[in-house]
Amino acid sequence: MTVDRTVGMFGGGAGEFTAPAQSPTALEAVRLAKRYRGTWALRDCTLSVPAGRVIALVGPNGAGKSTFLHLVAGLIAPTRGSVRIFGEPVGQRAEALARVAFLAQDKPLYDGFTVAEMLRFGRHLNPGWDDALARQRLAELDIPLNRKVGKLSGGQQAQVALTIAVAKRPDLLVMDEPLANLDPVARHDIMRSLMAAVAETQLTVVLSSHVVSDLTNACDWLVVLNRGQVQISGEVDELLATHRMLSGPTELADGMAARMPVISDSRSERQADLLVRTGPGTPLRDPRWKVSGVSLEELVLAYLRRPDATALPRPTLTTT
Amino acid sequence: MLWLTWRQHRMQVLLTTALLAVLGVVLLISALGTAEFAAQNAPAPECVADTPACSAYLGEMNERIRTVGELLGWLSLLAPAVIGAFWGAPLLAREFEQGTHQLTWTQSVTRRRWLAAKIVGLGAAVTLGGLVLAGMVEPWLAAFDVPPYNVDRFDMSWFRLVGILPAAWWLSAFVLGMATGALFRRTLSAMAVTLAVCALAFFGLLRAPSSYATPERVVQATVMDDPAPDDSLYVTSYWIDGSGVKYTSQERELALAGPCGTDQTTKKYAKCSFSHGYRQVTEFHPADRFWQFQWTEAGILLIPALALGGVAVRRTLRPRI
Amino acid sequence: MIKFRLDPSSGVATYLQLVHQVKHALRLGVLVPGDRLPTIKEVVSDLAINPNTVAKAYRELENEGLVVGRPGLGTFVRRSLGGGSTADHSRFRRDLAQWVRGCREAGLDQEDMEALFALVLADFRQEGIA
Repeated sequence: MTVDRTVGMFGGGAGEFTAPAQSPTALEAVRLAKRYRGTWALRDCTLSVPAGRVIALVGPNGAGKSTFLHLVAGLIAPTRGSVRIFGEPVGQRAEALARVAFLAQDKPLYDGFTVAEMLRFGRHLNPGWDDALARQRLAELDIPLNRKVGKLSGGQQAQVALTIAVAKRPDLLVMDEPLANLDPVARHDIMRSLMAAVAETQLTVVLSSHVVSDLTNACDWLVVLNRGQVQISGEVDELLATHRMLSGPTELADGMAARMPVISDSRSERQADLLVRTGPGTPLRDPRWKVSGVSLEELVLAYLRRPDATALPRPTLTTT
Repeated sequence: MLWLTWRQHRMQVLLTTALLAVLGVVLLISALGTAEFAAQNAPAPECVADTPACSAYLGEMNERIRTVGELLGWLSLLAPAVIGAFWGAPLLAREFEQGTHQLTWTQSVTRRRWLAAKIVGLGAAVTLGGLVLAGMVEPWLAAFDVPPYNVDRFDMSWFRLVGILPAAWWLSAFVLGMATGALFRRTLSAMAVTLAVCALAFFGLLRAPSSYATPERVVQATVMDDPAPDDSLYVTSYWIDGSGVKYTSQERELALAGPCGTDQTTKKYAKCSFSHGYRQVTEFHPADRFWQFQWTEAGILLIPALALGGVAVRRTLRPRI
Repeated sequence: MIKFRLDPSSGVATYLQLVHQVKHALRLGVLVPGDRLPTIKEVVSDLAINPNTVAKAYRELENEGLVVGRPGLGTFVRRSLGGGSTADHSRFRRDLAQWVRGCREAGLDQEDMEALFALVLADFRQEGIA
């Protein structure tokens, strides 16, 4: 049954309930590139994301996700190009470091420290540390402060790491595969407390994952990296609203494909299924075609299979 | 920052302090016992070694200094190695190994400040530890320096336990460990390399101090008990003939076998060799070179260690992970 | 207060699911004017969804005049929902029951009926737009 998804809002119209248009740019990368020993991990990466978003960075393994996040966190320096966070360049300066929190994939913590000592670590190393927030979060999660970090469960360790990142009170929280190596309950718990933190502190979050389904409900902006380049960058609702699966007779497929960008095209003798990107104001009223919406997962998969297809903002964004 | 350094490395700090304290107690007991023994039993300073009272005293003092001295001898090798392996090597290697550098480097403190706090804080602690060791060994040695027994700190048994050398050895081993840790990024390999390099440096430099300067030379034509002055560093002694040609003892023995006999231990034999134109040469470093030699060895250790440390610090500060 | 739940397999946008659930509760009388909706933080820490999604759902409900946001206090129900009178409802229900009976006799099963119903609804909707 695709009835519910055969919505009539064909041709745009989504995005009217989105965050205010004047929200500043949280994250801006301009022609960002990184080379490791002769191999480009990231090349010519340009994107711009407004503040207050939860940004999903997806892509296959080796697409450059970690490299991109490490560049944003200031852990590595770009070979070319630049990254700015709220207009300021990232790098090894205390003010720049204070603006970004980073949660590495393994969620490293000092195993021999107690949870309370980890909080003290955060307090000593961050002028903007919010100790009340940290303690409240840990109390809500029932994580004992006097327990050694190494004795906590994987999910609890991830929560402590997230708490430290959030209590730093950054403008931007960068998370590299936050859900990897966690059991389903812990994954859900982490996302719940992350979303609560976003609701509470107006954080902008960038998180990477190679599992799109983990992010479907949590993220409202999607960036797809493929082979070191940005393939999609856009608001999730808008992407979903501007992509349609068209099913119709094969003999009409070529005509349809000529009218709009086709991301995926699968044809049998009788029926063709085209995943198309529709611009604003391109209505389709041909009754021979069945129009249905696509899920985020289908959309990402279709793009990853076609590395040359891109869905990037139209050039209205200012670049510096 | 200092809190973090202390929290991460308090085990090493506490353990080292405890070991130094134990050693302090051992040295104190030994020194007090020796001082008491010397006060009661020291014969006249100018006693002749062969007299029973004199030799008994010297023998007892020797025995007393030997038991603790052996321990200290090992310490001058082991302490720097252990400092390098357990203070220096894990300092950065463990962070890399456990990925915690990614946590710490993304807090609001720059890498430079974080690294400075660690290196300066722990480096100062290590240096202080070395100075404390020297400060404990010197009074202990002084307790034995009751004539006719003579101890001097220029002696190779004590040279690396007094003055600034313990501090120099400890600090350079610490910096070496830190640097290998930063370069290898593996605690165990950094420890192994640090231990190996410390041992190499120790045995390589074991006899090196005598060549830190050109030794002074005494040419004797009469029998002297001890040609090198008190508290000096003996280097070597050999024989020359009237024209200054150097003789090994075997060559001299052969040449003198006829006129002087073969019993070389007697003063008569020595007199006989002098009368045949042979002169005994003794090379030594006078006592006032003590500090010069201390600083020379400190430089030999610290300059390469700090250079390596500088490379490691530069690499760590570079924005890479 | 109502508790939201999500049906990930429905294919309906998350914010619409929230809107539908509030409307459903309004129709059934579970929510009445004056009731407070859960705060955004409560919803997201329960469902692990993006706060903007909840905000969007609440804005939509507010635009329809069903709820009103009072800054610092929360979002409150303004009016209840339900097209037609109760009498109409029972009449349509009777008619529908009759239709179902007819379908049964003609050999249609539940899925056939659902498909038919959805198809007719979709036809109407398309007409409405075109």
